[in-house]
Amino acid sequence: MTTTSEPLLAVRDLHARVVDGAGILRGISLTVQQGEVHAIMGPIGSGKSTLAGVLAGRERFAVTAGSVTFDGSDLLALAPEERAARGLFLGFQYPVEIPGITNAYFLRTALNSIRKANNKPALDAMEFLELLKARARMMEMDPKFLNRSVNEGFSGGEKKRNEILQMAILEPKLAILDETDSGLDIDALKVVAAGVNALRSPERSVILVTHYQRLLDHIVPDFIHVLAHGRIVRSGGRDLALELERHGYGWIEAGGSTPA
Amino acid sequence: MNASATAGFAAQRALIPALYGGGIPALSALRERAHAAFLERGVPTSGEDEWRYADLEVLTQTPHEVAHAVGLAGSRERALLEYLLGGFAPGRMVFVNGAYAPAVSEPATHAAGITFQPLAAAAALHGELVTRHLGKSLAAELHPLAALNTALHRDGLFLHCAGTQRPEAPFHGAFLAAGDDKPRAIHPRALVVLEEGAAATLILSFQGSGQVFVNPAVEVTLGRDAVLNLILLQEESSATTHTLALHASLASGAHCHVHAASLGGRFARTEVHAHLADRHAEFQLDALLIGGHEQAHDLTARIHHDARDTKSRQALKAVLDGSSRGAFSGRVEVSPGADGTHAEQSCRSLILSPDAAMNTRPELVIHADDVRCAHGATYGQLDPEALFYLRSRGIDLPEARRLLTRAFADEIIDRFPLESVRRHLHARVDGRIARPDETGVPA
Repeated sequence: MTTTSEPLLAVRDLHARVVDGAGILRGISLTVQQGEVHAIMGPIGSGKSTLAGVLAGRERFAVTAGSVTFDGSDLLALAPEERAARGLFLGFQYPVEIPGITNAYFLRTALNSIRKANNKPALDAMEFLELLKARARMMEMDPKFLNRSVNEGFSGGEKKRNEILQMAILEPKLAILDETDSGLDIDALKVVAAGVNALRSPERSVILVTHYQRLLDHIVPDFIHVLAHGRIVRSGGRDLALELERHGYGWIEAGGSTPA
Repeated sequence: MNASATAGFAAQRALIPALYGGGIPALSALRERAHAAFLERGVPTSGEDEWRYADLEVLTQTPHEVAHAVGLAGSRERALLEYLLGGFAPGRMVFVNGAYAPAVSEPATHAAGITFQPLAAAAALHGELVTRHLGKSLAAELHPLAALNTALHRDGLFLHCAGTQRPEAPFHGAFLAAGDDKPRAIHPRALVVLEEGAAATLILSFQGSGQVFVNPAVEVTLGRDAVLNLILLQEESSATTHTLALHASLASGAHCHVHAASLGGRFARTEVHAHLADRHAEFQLDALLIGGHEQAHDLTARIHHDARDTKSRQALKAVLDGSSRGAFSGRVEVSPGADGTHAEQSCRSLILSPDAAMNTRPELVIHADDVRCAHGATYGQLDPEALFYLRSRGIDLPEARRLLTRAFADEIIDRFPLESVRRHLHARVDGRIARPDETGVPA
């Protein structure tokens, strides 16, 4: 895919570390155009989740060098809620349980916060309920989950489905899905993948962060990047995932310990 | 104790003959004895173990004259009243500075067997019933501040339900402090007697303004199988010293469920005594403390299991911001022979500021076998991961904090029995979360 327009996301030579800790990202550069699906793969500890966390604004990471431009803005200067308001969404690897706040209330507050930030009128309770029910059907979610506390007592699969439901409601420009496939059985994986595929559009970009190639059987990416030691050591098309499956990450790490 | 403050308390004896009950020897004697007991004992100090978290120095430093009854004639007062009382209950008695305010009260008419009227009127009509219960469970020798109330209360709320009366509609006693520019003392009083098989819901609310010492005393007697839901709403102003003492006596099979929300005050103590006197009596306390600025809250509970197969459960949640202080001192005493007792106690605190602090003192004093008692205490801050989760969905930091704080408090609020009260508390708690330094009523 080639385009002459400004990319949706431009990451340039990004360095980051855990606050008071060792460096984890050591010079990441990545360009995502509108409508593209990128997969970021790599072994445990390679920096995949750190990259997702830095992009979403996790405070426990400190950026030490580099820049990130998102839809024309300096992403790193924005608070997490401002990033969300501009259309960035992080699907959590470990969705947080929030006792005492119902899923429906949480989602309506989130959607209306984002609408307000974009000078759009809030949806009233009835309008929102219609939207929520339609999206829940798409995710094959039992409506009872909507009135339960956010993620409380949800199974692993239900939590991940709930993440994609949130994405379907908030309709981000860029969704970063951090190990959305981890802990899912094959049926749950198919539902989650179908949900993501349904949300693919020329206006929406997706970054899939995953350890395993099996997710990519269900959500076919345009580009694959392999991370090792905080750097992208290989980039390629769909074939790269199959190669990885054959040879394992050891092959990349052995050959890719220097920048590709 | 400051000499003029001491002299002030002593001089208040002169008020007694003019207070209600002056013509009833038993009541006059009760007041005199209580006053003498208070003078003998004095204002409790934080050096005493039972009053360790109390901050009553202001009472010993500055004389607090007993507040005068004032009318609620002005438009500001009326607007205030609407704001304060926004429709909890059709049956409502309002007391201003401890005196009954008939102009703004709507006690409603009730079925035969239900008496809901001011104590002064009840003492005249049902003298025997009132003298049998008033000042008995909050004995003057054991409860010094309640003794001061017994001696000096101007009026109070009287609720009596004869057996089998189970009115659906709640009763409401609203106690307002209309302070002026001087330190004043107000002694709100309530006497609740539910006979065998009766059931009722009662709201007691405390609100107002001024540098006042509000010292409510509440006595509850529940007959066999009687059920009382008692809601205590403390929303005093930030200059108020509030010391409520509640005593509940439960006969066999009686249930008393106290729902307490303590939001206002400079120093606010809620002291709850429950005596489970016979089998299958059950007592529950759900309490919420909200502290901000330099507020101090003290919840003291003393539960006595005096008979077999009795149950108690206490659940407290505290939300503390600013440099506020909270304290929970909960003691469960199981008497010899009270086998089959089941007692639970939990205290969870959300500490929103590094300068806020919570003290928790659970005590179990067990003199019986075959007893199940459990207690637990937790302290914590807002979960940073949950805050980030909400923010990552577009919810800004103040709103994310409000949502999580409300979710913490709602577990207690949602157990309050009336929708109108829950709505009221949700709004008040939201206000306190947004502006932790503002207590009481907006000017």
